[in-house]
Amino acid sequence: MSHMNGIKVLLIEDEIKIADFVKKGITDAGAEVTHVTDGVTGLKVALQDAHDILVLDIMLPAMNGIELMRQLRKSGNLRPIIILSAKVDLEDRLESFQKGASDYLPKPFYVEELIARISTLMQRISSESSDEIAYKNLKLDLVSRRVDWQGTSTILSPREFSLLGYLMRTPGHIFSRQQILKHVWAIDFDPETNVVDVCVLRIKRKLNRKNGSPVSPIESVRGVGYRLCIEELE
Amino acid sequence: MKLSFRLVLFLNILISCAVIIFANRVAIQIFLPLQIKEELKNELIGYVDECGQLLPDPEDFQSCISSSKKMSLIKGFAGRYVVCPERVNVVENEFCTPFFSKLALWSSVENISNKEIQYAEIEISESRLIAANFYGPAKERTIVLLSLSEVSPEVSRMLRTYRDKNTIYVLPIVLLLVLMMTWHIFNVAMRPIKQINNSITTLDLKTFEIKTALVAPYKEFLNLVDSFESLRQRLIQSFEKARRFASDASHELRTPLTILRGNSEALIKDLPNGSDQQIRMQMVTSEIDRLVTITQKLLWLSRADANKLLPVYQVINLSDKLEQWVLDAKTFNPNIKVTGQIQPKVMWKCDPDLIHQLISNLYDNSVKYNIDNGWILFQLKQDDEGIYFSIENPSSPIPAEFEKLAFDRFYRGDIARSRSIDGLGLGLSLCKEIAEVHQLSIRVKVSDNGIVIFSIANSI
Repeated sequence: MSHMNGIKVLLIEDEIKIADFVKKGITDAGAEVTHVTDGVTGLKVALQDAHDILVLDIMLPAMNGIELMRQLRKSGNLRPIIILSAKVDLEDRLESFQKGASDYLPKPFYVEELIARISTLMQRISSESSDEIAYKNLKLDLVSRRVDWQGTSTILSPREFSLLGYLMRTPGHIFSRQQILKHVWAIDFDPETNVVDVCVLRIKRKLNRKNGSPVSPIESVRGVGYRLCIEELE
Repeated sequence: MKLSFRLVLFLNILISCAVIIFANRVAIQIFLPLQIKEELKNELIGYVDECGQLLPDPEDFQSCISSSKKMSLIKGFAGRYVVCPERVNVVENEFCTPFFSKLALWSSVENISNKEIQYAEIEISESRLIAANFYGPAKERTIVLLSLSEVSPEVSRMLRTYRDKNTIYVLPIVLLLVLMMTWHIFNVAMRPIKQINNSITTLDLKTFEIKTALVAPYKEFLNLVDSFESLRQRLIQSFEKARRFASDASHELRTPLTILRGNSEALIKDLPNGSDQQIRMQMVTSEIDRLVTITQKLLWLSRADANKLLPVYQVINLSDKLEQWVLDAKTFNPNIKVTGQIQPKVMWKCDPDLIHQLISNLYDNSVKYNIDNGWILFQLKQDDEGIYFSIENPSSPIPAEFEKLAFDRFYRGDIARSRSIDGLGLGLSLCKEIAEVHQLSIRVKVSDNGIVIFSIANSI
């Protein structure tokens, strides 16, 4: 996995069990993680070491996340911060943004979403064009919804575009139909539907129409969901 | 069927009046003979005092009585006076003899001009006689007597006749008075109750706050007001506890849910693709996701209970949003025919997230309870009266109480069904709360042919 390679993440989270799988997820994605469990140490580490991005819990022992962020920003540190919090109220989110958060992820969250957000934030501050998501030889134009793959170029419908973009944000990760429904169609119930399969099938058809190859960038994982097939794209 | 308090009060006052009237009659029955005797005694003494100098001539005495200016009911009985002169042969009247004997106990009478006049009572063979004696200028003694047993029943009969006659005339007036009294007493008695009631009806069922202060108008109502107030306080406390519980629980659940989901995700990734273990783990993850959704809904509901479901307003194109729903819904279930009658370009200020949740819950409902090869109709229109939005679908048989209970928390309309449907019965109650914070009215109607219509309107 290359899209997170070399990124240094500082994770400040007092709940060891949460930190464990977050660390694992981020490390698997190719980034380096430093983990501290309290606010005061967190601030010290954040000020001393050069991390690319901070993942910060709000409810922390010794110093809470908001205060940590305030002091960090006061010292002139402008690195992106992603807040993790069990508080989902608008006021809490707004306060976080006012105090300098770059992004806000309410608990419970998907690790893959956290990774995707880290990657997006890193892309935004690097000089890479944000008009395009690319993974190996699969390219997705965010403006025209055009996808390029193995010499095939086609325009996707908004839903197809959103689905492929979602899978491309964390290549290799398996997304369940439910997760895809929630992200692409914004529904959190089961509408007794196979719409996800139909949509994936349409993307596959569009990409295979011209070169006639049965190979597809989207792989179906039986009983689980879909993922961007990193092997096929090598 | 409840009795009218007014009627009960009227009947009670009527009964009270009847009892008073009856008691009065009984009292008269007991005291009338005594009063009549007292009256006759006073009159007898009075006439003897006034006309005694004309005695012993009974005719002169009687004409003197008749011309007397004294008011008397029984002047007419003057003819019944028996005059017994001492020198006359007393055998003429058998009643005279005992008064001349030692049987009579004479007592002097006060408050009259002639101090010699005396009074006595005697009972002879069950008839009671009263008498006054008078001493003439030559100390000749004359006794004037009257038989009470003869006169008294006549007097009381006469009085009773007048009384009964009067009762007939007075009765309607009494009834009318009772009616007016009832009306008045009712109003006076009800006024404080009405005042308290008015205060109670301004009770906000969400916060249990009373808009107009609850004040006891009279000291007798202090207890009632105090009891109500303590009841209200207890309600506030337990309601607040329940609300906090839901809110705290959904917050506290977030950390374990995050850990569960994070680990199950990691596990899915580690397991061989397509393996049974991976599929099973995916099922676990789906259930965790359901828990997350339920937790979120509970949090929303507890916030609504605390009046803290605060919409973040934004103007959206509701027509476009619904058109998109219709398009999506068409692809979701090919077996359900989805149509939309959507007026274009309806712009509306609302909280897009909450409204999305509302439409989503209603749509979810219309799919779950649809019939095989059924249909769903989305409607949206806007006119001078406001916005009207509805989702309708045919449904398999629905319990009769559905219309009434659909929006109740944890109510599930499918108890009577054999088909088991996912859900906790939170969706529609959340719809109601979302509608309320947007000042919308939400209704459900089940037509005779089993079509369920959920409609939302913001008619002004």
